[in-house]
Amino acid sequence: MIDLINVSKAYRKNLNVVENINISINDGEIFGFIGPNGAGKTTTIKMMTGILDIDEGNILIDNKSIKSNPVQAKKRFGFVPDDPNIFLKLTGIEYLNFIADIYEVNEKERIDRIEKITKEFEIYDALEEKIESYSHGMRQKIIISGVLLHNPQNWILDEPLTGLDPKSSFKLKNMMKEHVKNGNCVFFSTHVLEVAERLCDRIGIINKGKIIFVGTYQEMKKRFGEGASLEELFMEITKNDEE
Amino acid sequence: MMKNNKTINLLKTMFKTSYDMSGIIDSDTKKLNKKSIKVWLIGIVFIIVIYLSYMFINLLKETGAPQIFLELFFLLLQVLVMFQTILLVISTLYFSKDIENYLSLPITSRKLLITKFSVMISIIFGSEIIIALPAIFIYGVRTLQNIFFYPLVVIVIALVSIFLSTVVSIVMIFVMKIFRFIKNKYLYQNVVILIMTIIIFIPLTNVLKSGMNNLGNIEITEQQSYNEDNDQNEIQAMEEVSTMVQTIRHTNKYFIVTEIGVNALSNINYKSIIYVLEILALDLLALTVFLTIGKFTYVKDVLWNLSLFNKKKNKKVELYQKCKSKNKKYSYLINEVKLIVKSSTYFIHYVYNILILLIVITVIANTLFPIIVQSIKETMEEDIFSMFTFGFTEFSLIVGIIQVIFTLSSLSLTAISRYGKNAIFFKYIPMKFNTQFRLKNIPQLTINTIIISVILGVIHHLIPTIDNLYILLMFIIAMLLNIINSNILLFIDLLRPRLNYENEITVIKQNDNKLFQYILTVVMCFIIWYISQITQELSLNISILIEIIVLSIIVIGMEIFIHKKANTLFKKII
Repeated sequence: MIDLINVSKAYRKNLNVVENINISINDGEIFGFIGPNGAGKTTTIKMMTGILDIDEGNILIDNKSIKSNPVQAKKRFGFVPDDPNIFLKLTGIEYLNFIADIYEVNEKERIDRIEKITKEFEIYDALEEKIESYSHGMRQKIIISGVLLHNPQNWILDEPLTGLDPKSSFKLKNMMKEHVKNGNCVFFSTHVLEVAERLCDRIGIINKGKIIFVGTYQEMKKRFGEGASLEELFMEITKNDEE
Repeated sequence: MMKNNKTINLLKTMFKTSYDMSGIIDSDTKKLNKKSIKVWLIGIVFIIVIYLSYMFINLLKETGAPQIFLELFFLLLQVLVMFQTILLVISTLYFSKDIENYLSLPITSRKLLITKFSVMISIIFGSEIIIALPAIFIYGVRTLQNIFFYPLVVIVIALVSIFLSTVVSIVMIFVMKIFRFIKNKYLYQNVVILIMTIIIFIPLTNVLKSGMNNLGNIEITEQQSYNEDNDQNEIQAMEEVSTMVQTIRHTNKYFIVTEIGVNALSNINYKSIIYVLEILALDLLALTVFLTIGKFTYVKDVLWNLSLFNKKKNKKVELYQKCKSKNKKYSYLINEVKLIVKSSTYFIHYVYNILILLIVITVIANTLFPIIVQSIKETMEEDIFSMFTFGFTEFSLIVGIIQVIFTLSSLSLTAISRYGKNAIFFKYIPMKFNTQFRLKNIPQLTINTIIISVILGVIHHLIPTIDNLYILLMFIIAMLLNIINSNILLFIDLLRPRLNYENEITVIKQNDNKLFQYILTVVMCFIIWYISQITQELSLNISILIEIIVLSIIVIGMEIFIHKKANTLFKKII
């Protein structure tokens, strides 16, 4: 469960990039976070993961505050950043083993999970190679594998489907569904509205640092117009907000 | 004409991609950016070189042998050029990032080699403009050389550098072929660099050693011009100077062009032109050999390197072997070390340079120093160590030297910046920031501890009259300095992280935080000097105790700060 309570952030005085955000992502749901470029998505995710300080408000990960109890809160989520170019000098297996050590996954579990996850993503045979020799998609897969490896209750994914081939993208989406079925939660940002439409239990739309809608796709349609696709609704909502 | 244009355009493109003048040249005015830290850094190095050269030449003038500067200058220049060539052949000629872009273009192997080699030479010239030219120009001014000396010195330095660089490059081509059996790219690069360094330094040391051994055979002609009334000390000084000149000359003889270069500049006359033409002829000969060999091998070798780098292992991963569980702090530390060791760029700049320096110091201490001591003993008929008094000034001097050597390694200065944009990883993992701070400092602390141990070991070996207790106390003080240095370097990197680097080399080359490390060294040396001044009247033990207390207070203060403010320190990583 992830709770954002009155969260605000300003890089400069009186210029909030994120303003008074209140979102609660419950266990057992996939939450899609969408918004135009520069709307405040990444800033919000960075605050959720402890990369950025929160100016006002609080963020709780399974009731552990990222502000006052950061280590415990961080243990409860896995994060996939938007840039997968990480630890390029390590081999795939070195990276995964490092992550397993950091998140204290025991030996038996890590072996089982690494085998299962990497075979699923078809990168098992490349584990002995350096990450710098991987393609963009493979790098994305190894980062996602790192998150799945320590099996956190909460997944925070920043544009996780970018660069993935259709097969892996399909598998990841199924994994997300499977994860929430087990009573966990997934928070992910995306630009692909069709994915959000089909995959998410609830959607949050952010524009100019403010949350302008939170709810299900059905609720959105009821409020903004029946028969419209998410893309059309998104355009309508963000346009209205600009006016 | 078209062909020439193609080469020139290629050269222009390579220069643009190889040099980053951002910061040095103001993009709007196209003039030198006076606000840039890099410009100031170059200026400071320039001034230091001028100052040291001036002082050294004055000293030599007093002993009546300013000529020694020219000999020594060329000896150091050739070591600098050769060592720089080894690194540049690896980084620019064979493993540069842009090489793949050029391979797909319709360029002949020879043209690619010429342009890459030109870039390499230009980098060597660049460092010579900053380091070598000011020193030799000061020599020209102080020894009242005529106006032709200055253009001639530029030509001679350039030609000598081209020759040495070409010869080393030829050797490098073969060394790189021989060590191809090493399939790991980074290990391969490091082994080649190590082998080449040994190839250069061992003969150089032997040459110096044999020069020193031949002391007894050298006739000290200068001594004869002195009449019997001359002070004995002056004669001894003359003997030492003469010995040094002979040794350096002896060494320079082995580097064919260097001797000719020195001859060309010793007396400026028509013969100088002949000497220059001689070097030019040797340059052309070396370049012809280099290009002929390179024409057939260069692109092939580059392609081989690329295939080595991109080669798929097709190796089945042994999960039970590879997935051993480790303590997370230990794992974090191992990961820090792996990044340094697996990257040849970081390894060469942060570890290798230190190891080479320590090896050179140890070799010199073991080979040359005993001979010097013996020769002084024979000349003065007295044991040098019986004249040596060990006080707090000497104690502080040794500690100060260690502090200066610390400046060569900047591991903590880039502990965050090395990760670029991915440094955010350290923000979202479940590990306390103060723990991460301490773990990130360990590589720097280790390197500095090696420096301290080797330097003190050498001093203990060279000056056995220093009590073991003082060696131990020096170790304690140096370790306190080590902690202070490492902490401050990491503070700097955390407060001014440079996370937008495109590749590893720019993390090192474009890191203006290095200036702060120089300032830190000056400040620390000042503190050591200041303590030695205010404790002049006190006994050695009390002075050392005061120094330990002062440095301990600084260390404890830092530890409290890190413990309380680690979160704030990591704030800039976003």
